[in-house]
Amino acid sequence: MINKKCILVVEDEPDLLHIVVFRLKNAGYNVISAQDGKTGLEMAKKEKPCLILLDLKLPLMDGVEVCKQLKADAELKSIPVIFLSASPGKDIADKIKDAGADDYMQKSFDTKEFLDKLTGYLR
Amino acid sequence: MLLKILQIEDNPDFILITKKILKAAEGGYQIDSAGEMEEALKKIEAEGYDVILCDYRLPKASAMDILNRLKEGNKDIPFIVVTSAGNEKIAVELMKAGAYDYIIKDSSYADILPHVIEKAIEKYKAKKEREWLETELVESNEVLKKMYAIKSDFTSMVSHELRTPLTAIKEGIEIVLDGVVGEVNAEQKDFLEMAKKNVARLKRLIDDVLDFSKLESKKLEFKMEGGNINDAINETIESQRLVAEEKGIYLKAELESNLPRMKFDSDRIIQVLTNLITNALKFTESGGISIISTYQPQEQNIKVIVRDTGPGMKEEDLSKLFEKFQQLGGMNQRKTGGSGLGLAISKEIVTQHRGKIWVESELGKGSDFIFTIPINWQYNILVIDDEKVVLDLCERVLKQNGYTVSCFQSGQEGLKAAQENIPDLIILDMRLKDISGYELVGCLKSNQNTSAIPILVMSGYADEIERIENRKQEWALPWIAKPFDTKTFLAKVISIITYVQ
Repeated sequence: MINKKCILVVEDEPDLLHIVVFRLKNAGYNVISAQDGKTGLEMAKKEKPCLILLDLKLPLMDGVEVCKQLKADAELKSIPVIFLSASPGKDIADKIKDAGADDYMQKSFDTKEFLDKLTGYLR
Repeated sequence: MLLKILQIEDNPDFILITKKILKAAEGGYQIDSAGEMEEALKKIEAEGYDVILCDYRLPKASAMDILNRLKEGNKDIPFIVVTSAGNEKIAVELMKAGAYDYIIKDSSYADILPHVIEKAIEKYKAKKEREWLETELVESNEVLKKMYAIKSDFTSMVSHELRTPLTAIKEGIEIVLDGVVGEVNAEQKDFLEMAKKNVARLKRLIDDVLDFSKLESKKLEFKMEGGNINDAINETIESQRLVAEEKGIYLKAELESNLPRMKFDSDRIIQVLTNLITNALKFTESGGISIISTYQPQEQNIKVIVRDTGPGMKEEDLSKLFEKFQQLGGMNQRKTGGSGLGLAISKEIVTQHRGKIWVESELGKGSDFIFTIPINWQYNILVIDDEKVVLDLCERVLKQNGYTVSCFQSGQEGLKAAQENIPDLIILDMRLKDISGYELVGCLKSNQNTSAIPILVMSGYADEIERIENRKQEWALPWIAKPFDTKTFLAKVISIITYVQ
């Protein structure tokens, strides 16, 4: 049973994590977080969030690998996964395709744009 | 400097003669001798000689044997063979095997010997220097490659390291400004807005520096697609319209209609146009900015001018404008808030489009920032004709004019190539050996990957042309009759590829 309105954020930069978590809670979501890929994957399996925001560069297991494993799991593959990217990149498209992610967002995001995109995936 | 010579010779009289000659000659020589191969090799190992003077034939071994033994031991010592008249053939063979020179045991021996030795030494020195230079070159090349790799890793690392804290700062400020962590008074708001503005400025600077770094190291891949540059110009003008309106100056376009289609990276050219227009907007207080586009048929390029009615610039300041970190406004010292890289980036982009960019300006009369881009580079043309003569002619003419050409005598091979690497134009002869021209065109038109490729048909038969004219209704194929003169051919190619009527 997928946890309604619970978002998992996996981001290793503590300040950026703090900001994202703050923004999401402020918008009314329940938020859980992890600071490395391995813990992130474990939490996803345990809590079954309704959406996962995944940083690409993570310790222990990188974002692409976490995503691949999520998408290979029958119970978890329907959860939307959005990559967080530090730089505007045209090579990000390849990473998304490779990992099976649903979308990506630049980390220097516009809050409104960010929240709109989320509601899109959470409908 | 004493030159150590080893003479490998079994005739003791000849050894004495040689010693006498060299004693009388200029320069200091020390001569040792050895009567046969093993003795000679031992001496070479022990002493180290500058030159070896070796008789072509010794009792138990030949000069070739000795030379080979030296080569095996990786000993490179100037080796001079002493032959007798009529044995030049052996000498030549030894030269091929690595001997530096040979000298004949005849009446000239006494006069020539010192010169031959000198020449051999010089040859050796030159050889060693060349080898040393080559190693130096290879080494410095390796160092450069490593530095280059470090630089590009550095660039991406820097990109990430710089953007992360910047994001945190920006978001932190925004959260407070949004009022979601407490009310913000007017004064607090002011300072926070100021901080936010500077973060944006810093971000632009970082983007510029990283952009330029990638461009300079040619790591950026350009997406060259055919299109009309007027579209890019219009798009840029739209995005800058408000700024001009706020300043009360005009921003207008004077674009030539029916500009030939050209291959360019739209995003990057928009970047150039944005840079030129924002610069013009910064410095123009009254009047306005015009963007002018024209096709120059003589030079086969498209010219774009960004003309402003600003203050203009002095002749002396013009040349340095496109260099890195040059701030416009020079003597005025007005901090315009740019990175100083905008024009350098623009220049890099234009250059990678094989174009040129420059400025024409007069103090008090405004400035023209101009760039040109050739229209016929980056175009791939596929030519299919079973007659090699025609194929070669087409290839030569097209290549001379900047096109990339691939040629095929077989229709089937040409068809396959067209399907794999979509060319910008296919030129084909209607009469081919392995497949009829019609069939080929049919195949191209029915495959959705190749159906849009323009085709130019060549035909040497009057009735063929008639049939083409009739089929023209269906395919509307342009054609050219063989034999054709190159001027007509080229004009036709250009008109099809660039849609110029």
